[in-house]
Amino acid sequence: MQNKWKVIAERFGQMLITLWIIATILFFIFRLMPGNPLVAYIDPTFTEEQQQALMQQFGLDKPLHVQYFVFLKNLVQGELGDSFFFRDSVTNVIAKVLPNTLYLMIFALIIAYTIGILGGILLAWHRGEKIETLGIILTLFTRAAPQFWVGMILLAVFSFQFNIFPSGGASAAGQVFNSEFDKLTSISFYYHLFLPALTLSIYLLGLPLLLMRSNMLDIMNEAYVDMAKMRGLGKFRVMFKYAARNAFLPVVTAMAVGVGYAMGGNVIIETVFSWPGLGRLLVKAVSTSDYPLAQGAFILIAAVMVFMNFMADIIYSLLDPRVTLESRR
Amino acid sequence: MALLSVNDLKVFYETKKGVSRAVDGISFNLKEGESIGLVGESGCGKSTTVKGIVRVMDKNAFSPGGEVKFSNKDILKLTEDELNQLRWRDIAMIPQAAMDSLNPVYTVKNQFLEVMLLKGGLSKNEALNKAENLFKLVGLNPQMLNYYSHQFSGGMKQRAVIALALALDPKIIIADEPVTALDVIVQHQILKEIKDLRKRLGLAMIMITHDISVVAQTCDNIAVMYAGKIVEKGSSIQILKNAFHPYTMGLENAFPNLNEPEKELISIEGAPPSLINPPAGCRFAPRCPFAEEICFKEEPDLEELELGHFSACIYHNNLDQLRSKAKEVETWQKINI
Repeated sequence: MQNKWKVIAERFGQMLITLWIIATILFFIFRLMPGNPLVAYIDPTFTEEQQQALMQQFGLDKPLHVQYFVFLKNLVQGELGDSFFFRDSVTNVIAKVLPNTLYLMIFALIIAYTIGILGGILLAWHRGEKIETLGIILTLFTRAAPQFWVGMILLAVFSFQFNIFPSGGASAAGQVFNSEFDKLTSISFYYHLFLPALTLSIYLLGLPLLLMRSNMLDIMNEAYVDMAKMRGLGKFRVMFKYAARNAFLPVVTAMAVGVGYAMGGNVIIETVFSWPGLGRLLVKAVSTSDYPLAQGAFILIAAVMVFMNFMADIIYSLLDPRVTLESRR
Repeated sequence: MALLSVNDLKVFYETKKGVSRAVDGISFNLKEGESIGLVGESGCGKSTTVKGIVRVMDKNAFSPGGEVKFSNKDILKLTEDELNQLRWRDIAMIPQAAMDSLNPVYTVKNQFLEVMLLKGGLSKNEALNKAENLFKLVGLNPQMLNYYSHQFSGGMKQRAVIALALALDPKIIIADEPVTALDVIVQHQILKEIKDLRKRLGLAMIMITHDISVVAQTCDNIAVMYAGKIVEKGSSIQILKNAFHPYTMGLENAFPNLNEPEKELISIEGAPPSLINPPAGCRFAPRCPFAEEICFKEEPDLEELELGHFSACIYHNNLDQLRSKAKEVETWQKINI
């Protein structure tokens, strides 16, 4: 047990190193981009002196390595610079929209992985029957359908045609939430969340469903499943405790990857549904050449992904006694 | 009266190429406390037979006929719920692959308690006590109940699944190649263990194996299977001393014999036939060194040639001559396959 905590601490250290490498790459990518990072900020009518003063203000007159260490120091302190576009600190700008993205992602992941896992079990159990063929065709369809298209179809049907759900945003016009708690306890918020979360979960659904199904088919050939049947334990116990419990393990890993998909998917879905989240912010940052904001958003997305992988590692070792964190180093 | 009586049992597999007649009408009886060995090569339907008896069959398997009587109930006619009542309480199993026959993500204890609480109606304490005693009985440290199956060695795992098979005091134990995956020393220990337990607990047993020397050690009776049929059955002594069927003679040649340690091992050329379109006549004829023309046309019935000793072969007389010929290497090399 003592050892376990040591390994987790070690893993955590590795995670920090990964993040440092990502931050470094991002730092240089943005510095290597053509043009002056202040292009978007500097008005053409500014005088040479004014431009120099601005460069100084943003620290861009210093040598690159000095800039890099300043950047790292600020990053450790949670300081990501100022957004050119919003004229506010990047941390503030991101903090305002990040919860929305997380809600969207978490709800979509829960829906997709619940339905995906149960659907995969069902399809595997009904191997060779009509329901399996139908289920697979449907799943491949959802997997192949582009998210923006699914989003637009859902909008066209449920919002514009039948007017059941709002067409965009995270709250009704004029509605202001005083806190995240207010938001999460407001029906209107879920009402707005529904379509984007549905779109994202349709996109995410295929991976866990197909993975669960093929794992189940493998596991159902295992001797311990037959032996459980021989023990007369009953259909559902065999199906869940013996087959599904084991088939589920690789899906945990897939879920960490799924977070990556969800983050990527967010950029498109948030744009389609005007969802005030990180993805939409990123699009805005890139389109307005708001380098500090884009850099901050990228770092945050990378941090979420790295963290989810770290969590998946730990969860996996808790779920499968054969896997110890120690031996996977 | 027989405890278990299998009459004309058939288990077929639906495959893409057609129906495979894996078990094609086999019959045998098992009395209380008695043991029978099902012997034959891989793919001759031994495992399918026992799967058919407890009705844990693959999805594409079906049983077009036959009767499996256990204490006056026809198992083939029971509903799934009634079957689950009977499974493990009356008929338990020591599986072929003990390696993977325990759920890897739960402790062994969990799986013992599960079956004892759900099916044995024991309290948790009683179950735990019993599990510990069973572990002692098979020579394992009761502490090991808390382990996961991957923490056991092969021999320990085999002992653990034997203990698990005894969890509900079954009347019949089916042992499907219980020692095949183990090294010879452990094999010997486990076989001895099974034999002792059977005597102490008065268990009836069906032992499946391809190794005729294993049944010689453990079984009262032997049924030799070939290509989905029983070709010879009788008491172990009858069969090991006076084999009637050429296939049995061939099998005996293929395994070392303690009485003739110098003897060269002779294999039977070829492989069992496809069971989708089995050859007309005797199914062993194409590999049989003594096959006559008639063997390829007519299928011989299983006939009782001496009391309790059946054989499905055209040769009823001069079997001593056949047996001595069957011991020669040249005899088995003549067959063209």
